[in-house]
Order: sequence, then structure tokens, then C-alpha cells
Amino acid sequence: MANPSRIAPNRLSSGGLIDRERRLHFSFDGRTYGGYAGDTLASALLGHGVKLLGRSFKYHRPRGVLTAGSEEPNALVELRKEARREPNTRATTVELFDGLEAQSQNRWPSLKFDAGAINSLFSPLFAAGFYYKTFMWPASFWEKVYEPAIRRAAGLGRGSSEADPDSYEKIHAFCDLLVIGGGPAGLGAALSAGRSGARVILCDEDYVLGGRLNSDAREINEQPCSIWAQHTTAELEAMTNVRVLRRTTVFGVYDGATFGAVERVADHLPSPPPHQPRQRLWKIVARRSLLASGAIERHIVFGGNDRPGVMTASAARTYLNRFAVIPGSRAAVFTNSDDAWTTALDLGKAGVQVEAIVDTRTEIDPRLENKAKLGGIAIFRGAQVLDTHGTHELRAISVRSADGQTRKVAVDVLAVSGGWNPNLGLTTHLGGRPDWSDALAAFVPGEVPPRMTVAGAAGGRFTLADALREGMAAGTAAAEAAGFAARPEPLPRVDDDHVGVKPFWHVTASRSKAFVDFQNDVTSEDVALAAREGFKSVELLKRYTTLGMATDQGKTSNVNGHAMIAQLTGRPMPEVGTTVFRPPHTPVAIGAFAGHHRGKHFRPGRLTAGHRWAEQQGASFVETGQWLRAQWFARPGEADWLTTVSREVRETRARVGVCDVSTLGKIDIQGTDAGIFLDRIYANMFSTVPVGKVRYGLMLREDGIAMDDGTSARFADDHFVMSTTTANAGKIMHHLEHARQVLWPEFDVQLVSVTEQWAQYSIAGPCARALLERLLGDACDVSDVALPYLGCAEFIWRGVPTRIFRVSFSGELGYELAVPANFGDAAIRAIMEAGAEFGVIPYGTEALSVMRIEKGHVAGNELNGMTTAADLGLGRMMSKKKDFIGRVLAERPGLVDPGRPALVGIQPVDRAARLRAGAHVLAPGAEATMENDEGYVTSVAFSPMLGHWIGLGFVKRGPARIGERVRAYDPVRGGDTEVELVPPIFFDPEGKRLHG
Amino acid sequence: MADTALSGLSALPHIGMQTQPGGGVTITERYGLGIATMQARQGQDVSLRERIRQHFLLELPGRPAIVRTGSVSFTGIGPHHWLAVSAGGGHLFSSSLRALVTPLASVSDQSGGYVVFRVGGRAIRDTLAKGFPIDLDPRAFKPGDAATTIVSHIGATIWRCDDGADGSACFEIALFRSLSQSFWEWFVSSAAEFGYQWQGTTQQ
Repeated sequence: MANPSRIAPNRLSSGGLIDRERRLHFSFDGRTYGGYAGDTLASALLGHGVKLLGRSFKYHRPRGVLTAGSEEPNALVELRKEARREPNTRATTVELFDGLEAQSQNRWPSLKFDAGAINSLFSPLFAAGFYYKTFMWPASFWEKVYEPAIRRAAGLGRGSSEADPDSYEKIHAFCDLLVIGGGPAGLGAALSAGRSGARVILCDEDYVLGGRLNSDAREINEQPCSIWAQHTTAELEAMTNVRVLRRTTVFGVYDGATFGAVERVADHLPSPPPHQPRQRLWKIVARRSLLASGAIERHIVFGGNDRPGVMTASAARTYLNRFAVIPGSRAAVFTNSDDAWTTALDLGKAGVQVEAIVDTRTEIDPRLENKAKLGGIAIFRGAQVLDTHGTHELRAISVRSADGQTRKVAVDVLAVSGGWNPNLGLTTHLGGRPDWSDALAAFVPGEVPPRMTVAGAAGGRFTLADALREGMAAGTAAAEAAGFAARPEPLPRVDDDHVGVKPFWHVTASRSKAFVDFQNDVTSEDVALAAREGFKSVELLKRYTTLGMATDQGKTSNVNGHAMIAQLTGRPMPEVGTTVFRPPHTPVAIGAFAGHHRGKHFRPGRLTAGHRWAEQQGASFVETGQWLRAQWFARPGEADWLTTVSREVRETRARVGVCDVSTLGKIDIQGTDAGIFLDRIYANMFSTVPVGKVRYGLMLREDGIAMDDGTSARFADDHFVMSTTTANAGKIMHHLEHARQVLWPEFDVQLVSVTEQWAQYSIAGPCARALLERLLGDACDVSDVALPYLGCAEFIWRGVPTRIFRVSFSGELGYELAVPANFGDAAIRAIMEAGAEFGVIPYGTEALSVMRIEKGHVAGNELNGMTTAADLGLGRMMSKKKDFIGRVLAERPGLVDPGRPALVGIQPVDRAARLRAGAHVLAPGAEATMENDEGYVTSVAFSPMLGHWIGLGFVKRGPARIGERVRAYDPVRGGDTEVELVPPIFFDPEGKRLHG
Repeated sequence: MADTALSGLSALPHIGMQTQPGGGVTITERYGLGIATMQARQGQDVSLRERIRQHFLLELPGRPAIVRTGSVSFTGIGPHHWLAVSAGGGHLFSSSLRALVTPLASVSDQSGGYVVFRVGGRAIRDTLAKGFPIDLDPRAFKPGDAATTIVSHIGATIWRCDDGADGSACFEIALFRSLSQSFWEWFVSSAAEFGYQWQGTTQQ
């Protein structure tokens, strides 16, 4: 039967789940090979007899393929090139496509000759705990010398530093039953639940459903078992209530019966088709779930067990039966259990010369022995493999038989099985701990997540008949729980299988390096060292030796390591226990978690109604929370932003300017208790505000610290409109809702955000009233008598409900005009048209900020979560006539200490000097220590009105020290400037302009 | 200055006639709507329901659901809190609603604050699943059901309309106007694989 083709010597001419009509070409380390549709990269390379695929993490030892699945620790390669370069992909799961380019990694200059292999000579230096013990001194060397050097020498592949050219997306799904794993148990469950009409999602990480059914030469209903898998898959895919997700790994279990899964939509293609993501992240909420994730075969710890050509027995069988690839021409099997005998028999049937079955057990099922003898296979009972031989590939093994004799057997493949571990990682994500089963010599699921069932090999039931029976029963139960009448399905007929096992972990007689964890190069010596040094807990063992870390999370190695520490410390396995698994079960690209939310789209952006108008005026925008706000409007010829901003300030103060203030929070507060409600919210009184008036308010947190400031306008006895700062809008809404719903549910108060309803423009400057008279005509009288400072009005203007507020942040004669947002674009254009004759200009947030600093108005920099009303110079706003949130705790001694830093203005003594926010205040000549710290600078601006830099800050007893000279010390940016403490109002301190 | 009425603007005036072949989903903006939030005053829930029942001949939903009569609908968006929508009502709608329910409820005009998109087509559920974290399956989310939730980190209220004549699903999504550009970007990236058609604004 073995008929090696000219191109791929180890490929059989028939059989397997590959499409021989579809030849694919790919390259590995620059050399071109051929494969078939249906191949993995590993199977295609093995078909060509390529066994050396990589170098190990620490010792740079030659490594090949150990497994045929996602648990692979060795065969990690780099895929693709340039921006799509992808390190540490498992060749055993990479679906072959035409033009695939793969590179080996962690080797230099080449895979066959790797200079790093010299590390093996110094292996005592790389034992467990080596870094901790050796690189302790001098401490400064760790970051600069040791760590970079170690990272260069030991490591995995290289990521691309370019931006990922592909897209990712997220999707939500809901079902009655989520089936995790499409092997016999999972297919059976999906079938019985799906036929009942229940909503089923079936996820399998492979691109062909069937699990072991595709790897074993078994029969179901007198047909090859892979055919049953194909027919069942076809039936499931035809059901509208069943969603079959191939290439999809369920990687995490979360609270609320929620599961995370990643679908590799286009990993098997050279690049994603148009409008398709590379990967898709599924968030699945399932009423019931079934874990049918099968089992993972263990290897055995013995000398040279990492040599390319040594693989798990199940992997050898997969390459043979599924991919029609013989893993070698002369084989041996080393095992402690029945299942590996099937591998020997299958290899023999395919024409491979099976030299020996080395079984550590002395008693073997006679039926297995008879079959092996019929195949002419030598049987070594009670025997062990001591060592392997060869350079880059396996050439021979040393077998010690029961009588103590050691002989060398020439083989090029050794199939190893130490038994099977249920693939139970997902059962531990919510805190469940696996239980040890002596009968199975494996951990089995303990407490599982709510409404999860485990079926088949994942639960330690290793026979095919068990898997089918349990899966179908779980499917029926889930359907019935969701209210569907499920008919009992007839069980498929299968033959018996052999699942006997006797624990065996470690060939202690081996003298050469024996690996426990291949991916981290953890050897039997490392485990022994950890035991000697007292790291006996499995969690400490993991951290000390790195056993079970990295991309495979110890799927093939943990139990061996834990069993060895049990033997070394003389404790039973249940007492030793096992480490638990956390999501993700297998690695997931960060891009999949980000989905569409990358770059500027990392969160949604909010645009004001005037945004497009501002764009047309050449505005530069700044992100303020989610909002984009116009920062300034540069004109041709303006050299830098400071020139622009200074011009905007000067022209606004000289004539009139317009600023979009739509982003400030606006909360509609209605109800008969609206006034009393605001009395409790704000530190100052609001129930006394007359209708048609606006009042400035300050609110405190419950702990007495200032939270936010703004104005509230009264439009009716039972109707206020509150404004908040842009940054705090959402927080204040929550705060008010909490007060309404929890603190004072007896109040008749209704709250709703109207931030989005109103486009609002600040119109400020000496010509503001003239502009508004021109703009509004008869719609509203804006004279000082009709609309004095802090007045407000509602009216219809040009067919649209409009509000006006006479408030000012700039210190100029100022108004805010509000229209429904869908008229915001029309309104700003009308404002600019009406203001043309007065020389109106638009100004941005930066000019607004300069003007408020010139006026000493506090903003976010001062309302920084550390300052009290008194610190802000607003202590007199704290009403003594009523209770309000924060009143009691604001009286704490620490908050009323007269020595606290309080708001003060700062200007440089040398008027040409620049100030920087963040500088600390020190006395002249004082050493820069924490003890000498007297305060800090919060806001600075270049004042075009004064012609020099000015600032606001908090200085100990600042208001009492006006005129004093101190230093603004800025070690971060190297500043140390002599400054003068001045009143915080720099411009128009009498406020004449405001009332003009 | 000429005292002509100000003209309003749709939320996505610059989209043009964008189409991605495939015919999977359609999207349109319902324009000119009267939109208002209505909250019952303390202890006035029963009287308010009675007032609405008499005037509109419908029962205010006490859960996330939408009820309709003629051109007006009410959607439950919170306890004692509804989103009232009137086709073609514009900003005048909130005034007339306020006149009707005062002093039983507080009404706030939101005609400029919310944008309502109508979406449909054979692939609409697969598209919406990429943003909405709720179950929109026909068995779980029936015509008249509503939910206030998020779509791709954007707060939104969604309700299911009657299926189209071809049997395909139809939903309406209300969200804050400032976020409509972000919503649009999410929608077209999610719908591109199925094909989409922007059908502009509709007055209905």
C-alpha cells in the first residue's frame, strides 16, 4: 500500500481526507513543496519527510511535530510576510493554502545549523530558577543588560511591527445548546438537539468536523467513521436552527452562561476576501452547554524524548489515517496503555515496518497481543525506552526490556502514549477544580460551570460508544430543558475499543535530557530541583520552572510534571492537585478582541451639529471625551497655534466671537420638587431662583470635595435646565439619577438628558448684543433691561423653538443661544451671517480656555477631585440654610485646614518667561523636596491681553500671600521660574465688560 | 435679516447614495419626526395611562415594547419613562404632547436629539448581531418588542417592526444624533459582506 510519490515520499497514494485533485504549493524556509487541499502545514511537511521544524525555547534543540492538534508545543512557525507576519502559529493547525509561506523561528543562521544550540552545553546555567539566582547583582543591570540578552537568546517568533492590514469583528449569538467540539459526542448532541428544533451552535476548532473520527480507522453503522461524521455534518448544516462554526475555538467561559469563541474566518486563505474579516470574535450566550472537547494524549518523560521523529501515538495515527502520510518507514511504539497499540496496528497495515511495541505494563490484553503478533510486531512487556539517537532526526532508540537488557532498535519514528488527559480546561474557568481519577490515571472535570454538561472523552469516558451515547443524551436533555419535544434517537452501532491504562510517567533510568514541557524546555531535572528546593506546590512549581506556561499552557506537560512532583514528594495525586486554566484556552489575537474598534475608532466619536460647518472653516479639532470640538480656526499665514489662539482672543474681546458649546451636558429637571431637589444637589440655593433666571452652582461629592460646576436655568416653577462640564456630563447624570432614585425617591422629580437635543453657541464680546439684535429681530428682546446678566428666555425664532441664556465664561458680554440640534447647522451659519458686519469670528476651545484663565474661572484642571469649595475660592457658596450632598464631610478638619493650598493667580517675574502647568511651587532657595512643596500650577496660558504668560494654581495660604515671590519648579521639563502670586482674576477684575 | 424659517438637516446629509452590491440590508433615516421623552410625575402613572388611553386609544407599555396608533408610537425606555415618536410631527409634537399630559407627566422635546434609522433586509439580523448584544432571533424578539441597549458601544433603543412584504425583518433604531456618524461607520463595516443600500431619508 505504501507508494511514496516522487514529490512527497511519505504520502500514500490513496486514503485520507485530502483532495488529491487540488494540489497546493507552499514554502518552508524558502524551499517550495507541494501538498493537497485538506492538509495542515505539518502533514504536508511530514509527507515530504521534513521532520525538523523548529528550535526549542532555551536550548535551541532540534524539534519536530509532537501532536496533530492545537496542543502542539514544538512545531511553532512564522507564517506569511511583512505586515501579515504571524509568529508562533502551530504547524499542526495551519490549514494549507496555495502560496503559503512559512519560516522556522528561534534559530540563527539556519534551522539545521543553529548557533544558539551552544546553550545546550551550558545547560546547567539554564536550570529552573537560574535567572533569579544569578542575575541579582548589580540591580541596575537587570533591565539594561541581563534581560535584553536573555530575551535575545531565548524566545519564540517575531511579530510584525507594521499595522495589521486585515480587519476583525465581533458578533453576538444566543442558543439553547452550545456544543463545544465536533467529535462523536458533539456531533451526536447537535444532531439530537437540532432534530428537536432547538437552537444549537456547534463549534469546532478544526476545519473538518469529526474529531478523532477522522483520525481513526473505526466503523459506525458498518461504515468508516469519518463518513458518519460527514453525513452528520451535512444534516446539521442543512438545519436552519443549527449553526455550525468550523475553525472556531471556544476559548473562555464567563459568568452568565457566556462563552467567548474565535472564528478564523480567513486564516486559511492568503488574504481575506473583500469585506470579510480575518477573524471574528463570538460572544455566545447559551441556555445549556455541552463540553465535548475530547482528550489530549500525554507523552512520557524519557531521555531524548524531544528528538524529531518522536510524536504522540494518536498524532502518528492522525497523519496516517486522515492525511495519508506515513510518519516514518520504521516505527516503534512506547506506551503504558491500550490505545497506542491501535497506532502500531494501523501503521503496520499501511506498510510501515513496526519494529517494536515497548509497553511499561507486564499484563496486556491478550486480544491486543494476538493482533500485534499476527502483524509480526515484537512486543516488549514491562520495558522502557531509555534514550533516543540521531542528530536532527530520530535514527534509533535504546530499549531496556524487563530483564534489564538494553538494546538499540533502529527506527525513524517513535509513537509515544502515556495515556489521555480529558481536555477539561473550560470547566475550570469559573473556578472549578478537576478531580483525580486513579482508574483513568487522569484528572477529570470536578465542579463544572452552571448548566454545562461534559460528554465523552472530555469527561474521561474514552470509548466511542460512550461518546455517542452521552452526546446524544445531552442533546436530548438540553432540547427538553428549552421546551422542545426531543425524540430519543437510535444509537449508532460501533465496535469495541481498548482503553486500559496503567500510570507511568518518567523513565528514571534515563541519563540524557528528558523533557517534561517541550515548549519551555523544562526537564525532569528541573522538576527534581524544584522539589529539592521546596517548590512543592504545583503553582510554585509552575512559576519556578515555567512548566505549563506559554502558548500551549502545558496541555501536554502539566500532568506529567505534577505526577513527578507527587512521586518526588511522596504525596498522592489528589493532594498534589493541578494548576487551573484561565481563558483563553488557546491563544487569541488581540485584534479579534478589538474588532472594529481600532485606531481612531477605538470608541465611538460624537460630532456636534456645527461640526461640518467648523470643518469648512478650517477648524482643528480636539478630542474632549468622545466629542470632537473645534480647538482653533487657523487663518492662512498664521505661523502657529498660539498666533491663531491669541488672535481669536483679541478679536473676541475687541468685537465678537462665536464658540460651539453644544458638548456641555444639559439635563432637563422637571417636577414639583425640582427646586428642592437642586438645593440638595448644589452647595448653594436654587429653589429661590426666579423663573427666567440662571444661577451659577457648585456641587460637591458626598465626601465634601468639589465635583462639578455649571449653571441651572429656571424656565418654569417646575422646570430647570442644568448645564454641566463636557467631561462630567455622564457622571453628573448618574449622580442625579442616584439621588432621585435612591436618596430621595419621595421627590416628584423627572430627569432626562437633553444634551443631544440642543445645539448651543456662545456669542461673546462687546458686539454680542448687536449681533443678536440683528439675528433675532423681533423674536426676542435682548436689551439689558429685558435680558439682564443671568437672564434666560424661550421663544420661537424663524419657526424653531429657541432658548437664550445670558451667561459668560469669557468675561465678555455673553449669551448662549440654543436651537434643536437638527437646526444647529443652519443656526451657526445664520449667526455668522448676522455677525459679518460686526466682524464676528469663530473661536475654539483653546481661546475659550485662555479667556477663562484670564478671568480666573475654574475648570477641569482645578475641579480635579482633590479640591474643596474653599480651595477654589468658592467657600461662600456653601449655604448654611439647607442640607446638601457633601455638606457634612466638607467640615472634616483636613478639608477646612486654613493651611490648605488655595486658588491663586501666578505670573512670571520675568515677563518673557514661560509657565507650565504641573510645576510645583517652592519658596526661593528651598530644596526641591516633598516637605518644601507649597502647591502646584494647574492651568497656564499666554494672555494676549496682558502680553505674558499667566497661570492658576493652588498655593498654601495663597490668597493671604498676594505679592509674594515663589518659584514654579518643573523638574520634568527642566523649568525653575521665579513667579509672583497675584489675584486669580487677571483681566477686567471689576467685571465691567460682563455687564456691558 | 430675512425671517425665513430655518431649515433642518438630516443626520447624515453627506452620505450620498452609498451602496455595496449584495442586496443584504437596507437602511434609511426617518426624517421630520416629532420625538419626545415622557415621564410620569410622582404617583400619576395610572392617570397618565388613562389620559393616553382616551386620547390615543392605546395602552402605554409597562415593559420594553412599542405600541402604535396612526402616526404616533410610545416605546418603554425605563420605569414610567417612554419615548414618544410622531411621524412628521417635528418639534411641534412635544408641545402638543405636553399640553395633553400636563400635569400628569414631564415632557422634553428630543426631536433634534435622537435619530431614528429603519433597517431591514434578509441579512439584517446577521448584521445587527455584530453590534447588539441582545437576542434578535424571531423567537426571542417579536414584532413590538423593544430594548434599550448598546450597539457597538453606542447607546441605542431598538424595536422590531412588522416584517416586510418579502418576509424579511425590519427594525428601527433610535440613537443620539451626535453618534450617527459612528453608527453609520459600524453599520457599513458590518453589513458590507452582505451588501447594503442607503436609501436616504423617509418622511414616514
